[in-house]
Amino acid sequence: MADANAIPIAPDSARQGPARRIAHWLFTGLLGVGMFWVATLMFFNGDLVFAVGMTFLAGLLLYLYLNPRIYVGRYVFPGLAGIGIFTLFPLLYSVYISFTNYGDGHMVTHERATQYHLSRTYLDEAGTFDFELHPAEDERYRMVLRRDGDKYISAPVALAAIGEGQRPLIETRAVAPGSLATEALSLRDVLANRSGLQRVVVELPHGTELRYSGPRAFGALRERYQQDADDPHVLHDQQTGGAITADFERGYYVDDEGNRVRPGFTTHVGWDNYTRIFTDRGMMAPFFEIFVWTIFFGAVTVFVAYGLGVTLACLLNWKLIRGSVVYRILMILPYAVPAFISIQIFRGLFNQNFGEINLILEVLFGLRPAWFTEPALARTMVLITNIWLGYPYMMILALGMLQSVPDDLYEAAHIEGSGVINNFFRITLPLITRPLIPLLIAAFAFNFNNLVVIQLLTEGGPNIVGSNPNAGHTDLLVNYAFRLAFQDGTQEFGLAAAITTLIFLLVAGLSMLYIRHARIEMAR
Amino acid sequence: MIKTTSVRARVWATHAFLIGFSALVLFPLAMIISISFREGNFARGNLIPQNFTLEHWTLALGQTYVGTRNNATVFSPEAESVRASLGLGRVTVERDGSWALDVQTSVNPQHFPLDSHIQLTNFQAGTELARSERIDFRLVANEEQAAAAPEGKQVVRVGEQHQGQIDLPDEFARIGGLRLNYGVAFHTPPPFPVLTWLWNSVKVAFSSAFLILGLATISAYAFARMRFNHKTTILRGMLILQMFPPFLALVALYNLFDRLGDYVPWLGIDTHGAYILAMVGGISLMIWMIIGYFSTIDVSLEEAAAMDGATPWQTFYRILLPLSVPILAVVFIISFINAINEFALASALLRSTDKLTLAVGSTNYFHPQNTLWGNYAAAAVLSGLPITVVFLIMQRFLVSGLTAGGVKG
Repeated sequence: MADANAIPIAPDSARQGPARRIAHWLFTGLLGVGMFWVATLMFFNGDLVFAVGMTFLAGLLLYLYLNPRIYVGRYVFPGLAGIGIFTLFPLLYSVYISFTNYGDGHMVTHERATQYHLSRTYLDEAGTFDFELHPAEDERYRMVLRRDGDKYISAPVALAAIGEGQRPLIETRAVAPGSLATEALSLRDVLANRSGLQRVVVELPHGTELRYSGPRAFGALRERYQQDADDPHVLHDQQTGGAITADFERGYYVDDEGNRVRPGFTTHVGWDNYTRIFTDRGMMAPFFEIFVWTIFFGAVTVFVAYGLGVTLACLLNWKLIRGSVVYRILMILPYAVPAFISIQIFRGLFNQNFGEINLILEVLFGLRPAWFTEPALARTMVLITNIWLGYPYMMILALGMLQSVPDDLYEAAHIEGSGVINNFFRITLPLITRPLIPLLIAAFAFNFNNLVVIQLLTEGGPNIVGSNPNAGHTDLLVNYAFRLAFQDGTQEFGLAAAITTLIFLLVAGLSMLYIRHARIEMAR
Repeated sequence: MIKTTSVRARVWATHAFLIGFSALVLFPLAMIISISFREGNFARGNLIPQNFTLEHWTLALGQTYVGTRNNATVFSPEAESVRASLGLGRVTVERDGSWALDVQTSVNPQHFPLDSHIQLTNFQAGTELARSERIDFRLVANEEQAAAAPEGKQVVRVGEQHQGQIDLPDEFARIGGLRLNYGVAFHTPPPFPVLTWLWNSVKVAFSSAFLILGLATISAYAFARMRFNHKTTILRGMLILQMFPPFLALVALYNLFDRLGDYVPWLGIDTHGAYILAMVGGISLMIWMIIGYFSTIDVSLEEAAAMDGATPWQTFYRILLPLSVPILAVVFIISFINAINEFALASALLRSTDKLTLAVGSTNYFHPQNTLWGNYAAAAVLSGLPITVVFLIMQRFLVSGLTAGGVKG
């Protein structure tokens, strides 16, 4: 092959017409400015890492696309940016998360938790106003507030129409004492309107905001916490006179007695998640069981599917077999049908009471296995399904490879008196397996991360007794992580990320193996 | 080679094995097609459905199914009459065959016309001895429907009262028990928006496949035809990265889109935008596949074009791309099928029912208490068939791409 780099790269945007150049500048500029704008928003929201990342991307974009001398960069950038943002960054970020307590109870950053506390309010009993409710026209009501001879009245409010989550601000005006025409409503009528009253915020003419604090009183709202002037991690409690302090070990603000104040925030916990996996009684045993099963599942799937695929390929390749094209199409079908559909079909077929498989087994052998509740049976079922899904790929590979095995080898073997079985194991299998090794490694890596087949077939079940958090006998490592992060009502992101990081290490090892066997020509 | 008896026997044995294996492969697929036409959810039955019904298909296509279910009630020895609810009203039938029907006063107008029937049978020890004539009812909403009703059906309207007499045959012996067979008109709304899910899947898969194709092709061009620093290192890195499926870093991606959503609403959790971008994570393998193909194309054409003053973009767009259509098709279809089949990212990033893709939405049919097996079957065949057919047509092209990349599609 000729030198692939022989094209003279002549970056001459000068050859572009002025209109296109302006369009190019305008488009790139707008995109860059948009990204900078988002970065600014991120910065002011406390997402520093994201803001820096965004600024970097925007800068790189403007630099590459507005500088005519860096022509190559324009072509490499989109793809590499995609890989960087959606593959590399998530991988590294997962590793980072595995060293934090990100998850249930610790979902927000420390800044957000602080902001939340600072935005909390309480009803100041000292600033209480006496409250009366007066009827107005059309099912509306006026609120009347009184203290020390001051009297305020609100505009008519349709209390019943205030929906959940609404916080209407009601304005009031001062009135002279005793100037109302209507009678105040009874306690019972006030209570009937309680849900509406609890939602309104009444604003006095001088700006004080009042909230419902009882059927006869409205109280003043005050900010509950105030940040300490010297130590920003200490918040003074205006209501109780105490203080809460950010505890970065536990990821919570704690009060003077050491009680946690929710919400917690994400903080670094070092190797805690990893220690938990390897020492916690509810996790250690299930983790190792799952680990061994994961390797077993991947290995058995590849081994059996490959054996089956090669056998079928050899049979289809036999010149005496007629109609092998039809057979071939039929055998590829499991590969052609979307996997999520076939897996769920198997889920129905394996159903203990109504499934067709048990129907047949019952007629033939009088058996009715509990595929979904017996660990060993569940694993067998998962393997059967996955081999059914996976053998056509192996068959396709083997069919391709068989074309390159020379016929005279078999003729020579025939003269020597070698039988069919002997030929298969001594000639065919070695000759086609050697070049396929990298693909088999990749298939192994794919299968031990085969989240879909487990998730759609058994959801990991049956559960391992004594596991805490829940783990299942058919869970693969990825399913276990997935379950911790997104299933069973838990969001243990930190723990899930730690398991994912362990999977990364395994996959990285396999990639090294893959590259060594693939001997892919890099120097181009 | 001479065909000896033993060779012939082996050929037959091979055929037998292949046929048996094909049957094993086809069994689940044939089953699902059969189940989609069977009555009820999770009913056992033969491969060829006995009670053929289009109920599941109607529901899968998003239509409310209006049908009639058979039911029966036995006259107790002392009773002179039985009452039964026909779904379109209540009927009272006397032992002598006289009946009275009160048509109900309100029915959702969308569900017209409703069909029902009554019939008396005489039985003894579970064996049917004789049956009477059958009276068919049709509840219509307007004159058009009344005119369209087949002959022999008694047309009834909302709020009416009807009565009549069933002719009892002579052999209707009084010795056996008497049973009323009747039809209950019913309507089932579609349980899930299957067509919406299918559309979501296709939309998302198309967008992500296009995005991946565009990004991968442009990058592959640079890697195959341009010289720059660290090229080999980057290529090797991409080869390692392609072994990591995008969903492995699901927690991080979730967090990434959760935060991004605060600033760019169409990239937040539960948006198709986030899902489409997340699928771009699988781009490394595609870049490798395209580089492999580009390197088989002779550069002399591009050189000639460059000599004549074409810019790199022009040589790429006008010369290299038209020559690489086969690999572009392969990359597009693999990305498309990947996106259709993808489950983990979709189930974590998409939440609301009308945003789901088929792969995630279809799991809704399998709730422990209520497995809608028949409805699932119809939905699965409806959505799986087009994808399967496309795959089978394209398989010869796909095989080359798949073996080159070494990753299951």
